[in-house]
Amino acid sequence: MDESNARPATVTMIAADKPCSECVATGKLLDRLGERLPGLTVRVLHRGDPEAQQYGVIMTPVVIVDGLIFSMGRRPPAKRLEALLTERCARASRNG
Amino acid sequence: MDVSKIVNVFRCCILTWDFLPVVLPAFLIAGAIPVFVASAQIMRYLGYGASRITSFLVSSFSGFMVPMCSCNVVPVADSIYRQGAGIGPTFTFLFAGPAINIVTLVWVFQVVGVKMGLWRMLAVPICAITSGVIMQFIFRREEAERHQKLSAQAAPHAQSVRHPGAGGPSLRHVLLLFGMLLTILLFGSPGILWQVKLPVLALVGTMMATYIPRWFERDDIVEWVRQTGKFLLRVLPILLPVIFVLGFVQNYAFEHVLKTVRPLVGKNTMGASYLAALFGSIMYFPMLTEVALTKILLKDNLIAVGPALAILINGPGVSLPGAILLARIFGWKKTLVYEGLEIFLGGTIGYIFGTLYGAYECPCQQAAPGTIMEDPTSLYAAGILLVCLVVVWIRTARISRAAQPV
Repeated sequence: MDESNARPATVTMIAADKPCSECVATGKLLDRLGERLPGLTVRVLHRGDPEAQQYGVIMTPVVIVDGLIFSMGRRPPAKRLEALLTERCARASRNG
Repeated sequence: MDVSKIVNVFRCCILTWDFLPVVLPAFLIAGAIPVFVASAQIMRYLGYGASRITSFLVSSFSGFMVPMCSCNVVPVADSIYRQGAGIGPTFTFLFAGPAINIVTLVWVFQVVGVKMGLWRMLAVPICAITSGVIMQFIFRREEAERHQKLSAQAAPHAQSVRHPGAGGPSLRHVLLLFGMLLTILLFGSPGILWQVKLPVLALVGTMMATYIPRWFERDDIVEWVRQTGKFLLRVLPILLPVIFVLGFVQNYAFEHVLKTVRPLVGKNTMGASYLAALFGSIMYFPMLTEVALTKILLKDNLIAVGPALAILINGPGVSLPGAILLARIFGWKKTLVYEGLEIFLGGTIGYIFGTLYGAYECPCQQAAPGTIMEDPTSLYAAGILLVCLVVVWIRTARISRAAQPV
């Protein structure tokens, strides 16, 4: 997807309206990644948001990268997510 | 106060070592599902574009894919409805979601008995789909309008596509994991002779210890154990005290309970079944407590089999507080129609089952088989499972060669 190379690296999390323990832990993980990877933007949506509706949310938390679902209903696998986002940021900084 | 005497009624089915090899794998399966099963795909079968038949079938079995309890099923049902699921499949999901949970199913088989377990397993999808179809029919005009509105939107349906870089174990390994857990579950059940049980459990246990670290990453294994633990922590701290309280009441207030309960549901009549269905529907049952309650009532001959099944069918779903939440989201009209359908269908199936079944006999009171030939269930189970595992192995060998992630 050429589009994603031009856009800055973003990771989005969809949380429940009343955040459960999983959502909170995922949020903390994403914040840590945001600090570690300088080019990364971290966004948080809530289940009720219109933008969140298009992702087919069944169970929160949902982690979205490049408009595609990375994980749903669980804490995301930290190592794989970090590897993917590092690669994304590197690609974004090469093109940006 | 003699504790062992208080919980004596559950000695046969819950407070026994036989219980562990059946129930622990069930919790492990429930913990593995959110980690290894891509539930995001579900909207494809439930949503706006899916065929009617598919969406009804998938919604009645989606409780397997997305472990639910009565507490979280309403927000999830709301989600799928807003994302385009029809009113019928949404309410089918609402009914079947918490009741088709693998842990609850296994508990009914283990604690109450195989026949009740099978009937419940069949009755829930039947009741759920029937309720859903009737709701879809009753509210068809409103559904047609909603359908038009959805199709008019720019992007009406969810695009829940999985990220190719998400990684994760191969489909084959996930299937084998579930296969091994199911094997332990089935062979761990009390009906299987120990000459068959021990070697199988030892073998599968060794296989799991060898292969799981090879097939799955540490992140995923840790998450799996965490989710299992979360499940246990959600269930046990309420269930164990409830078991204790039930045993306490049975020991110290039995006469009183006998006088109140037996006249109402002691005989298998239509009235008793509907009353039991109403009770199951209104009463909030934390997970698995309805199984413990039904067991103790059946064993003490306080309830007939029909009403007992009605409680098992309607117990897990939304209760009165849940219904209020449901009304806030879907409106009172739909909620009342749904509750009426739930009670009517649950009670009817309970009554039918009761007339066919007869009196309850606790599995512990039935004589254990002497030789494997007297009770060839072990052999049948072994045969079926082996065939399934071989088929899965062969068919997924192609997939694993192509090295596609789930």
